Amino acid sequence: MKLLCLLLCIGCILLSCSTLPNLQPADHSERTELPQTCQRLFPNGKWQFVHSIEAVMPGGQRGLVMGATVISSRNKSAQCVLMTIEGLVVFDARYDQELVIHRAVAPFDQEGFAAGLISDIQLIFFMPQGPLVETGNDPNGASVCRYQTPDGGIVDLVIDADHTRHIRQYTAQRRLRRTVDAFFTKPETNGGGPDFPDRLELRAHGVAGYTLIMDLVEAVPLIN
Amino acid sequence: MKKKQKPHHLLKALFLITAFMCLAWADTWEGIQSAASNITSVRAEFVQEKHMEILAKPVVSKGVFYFQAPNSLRWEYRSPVQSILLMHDGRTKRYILKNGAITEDAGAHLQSMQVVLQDIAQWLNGRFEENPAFSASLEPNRKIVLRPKEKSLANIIQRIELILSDRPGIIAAVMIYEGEKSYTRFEFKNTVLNQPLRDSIFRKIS
Repeated sequence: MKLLCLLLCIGCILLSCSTLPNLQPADHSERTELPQTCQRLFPNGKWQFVHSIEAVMPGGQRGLVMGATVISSRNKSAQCVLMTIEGLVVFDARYDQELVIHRAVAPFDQEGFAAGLISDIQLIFFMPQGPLVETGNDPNGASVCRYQTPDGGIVDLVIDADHTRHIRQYTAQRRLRRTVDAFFTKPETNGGGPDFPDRLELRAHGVAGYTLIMDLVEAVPLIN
Repeated sequence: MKKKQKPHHLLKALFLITAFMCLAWADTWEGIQSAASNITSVRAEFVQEKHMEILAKPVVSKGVFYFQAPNSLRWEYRSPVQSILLMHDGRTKRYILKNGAITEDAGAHLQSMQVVLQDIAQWLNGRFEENPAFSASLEPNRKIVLRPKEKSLANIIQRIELILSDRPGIIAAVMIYEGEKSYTRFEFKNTVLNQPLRDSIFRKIS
């Protein structure tokens, strides 16, 4: 009986964590400032990022690749190259209105992988598509900008009191689909330049869920 | 005065003869294999540069490798990621070192890396012509070019160029071309030959 109660409690906690939380309305000053603060969470202009990417697959298997991503915030285009540590390119694709795959070596040639990867890149690097529908505070007290995406889903940009950042993506059925947690291990640049997280952890929720742990190697501004 | 110049000329001549001997080692397959047959172990640092058209500057990785004849290899990256690939007794394993923790990399690309590592071991043994997947040609300026025979492999690797050092038995650089504008360059330095290496280097990560 005790075990059943425990399992029910865990189930309720998991359910409450994985569904869209209600927001308490933000106060007037926060309502004004928060949208601009949320906009500043994403890189502006054209950038080249290099990350080491550790993938944790269902079953706990781990693999490491290097990822080079060139993004442009202006037209929301992205080119992504995945390579082995030894430099062999296993995946190369570009998204600019449409997806073009230049190279996909097994197992990166599986159907849906390229579209899923580009979708993850867009979630990490670009402002959500769709209107800002709500601002406020979640049950933990964090500030939230809530956007409704064209597919009927929701993207929450979450800023904790200690300024750590999260992105939470929900399906049209309000189930948690992706979370991105941003970590800063080095001191911020105090306005000397844009601050990019030293580590990003993307979690894909669901039965075939996976985790990508992305450690920033370098961020290079590019001329448009 | 003339007597004083003799040792100077002699040194020059000796230097030239040695230089020609060194250059000559890479002129023929026999010369290369003969020089390689004297190698029992190699330790070298390497700098790896990945060049691609989309990259504003190359992605640079650094590390060290150890080779023990005939087929033991330790390929260790120290930056920007820490990763160790061990090849010993026909088995290949890769480990990732992160935040003080060690995990085994189960990436599917490991199998293809095992093939590349076996190639590297063959190169260090001077057996450039033994891989049936590549045709090897010896070109001027101590360059060996390996071209894939099969189109399926050529879609992934266009060609591999190996630049041999003027020191007999040593490879100075390797370029792996995936396309004309996409290639990886490995440059080797501080190469030490034939020093005894502990067996555990190829079996344990620390």
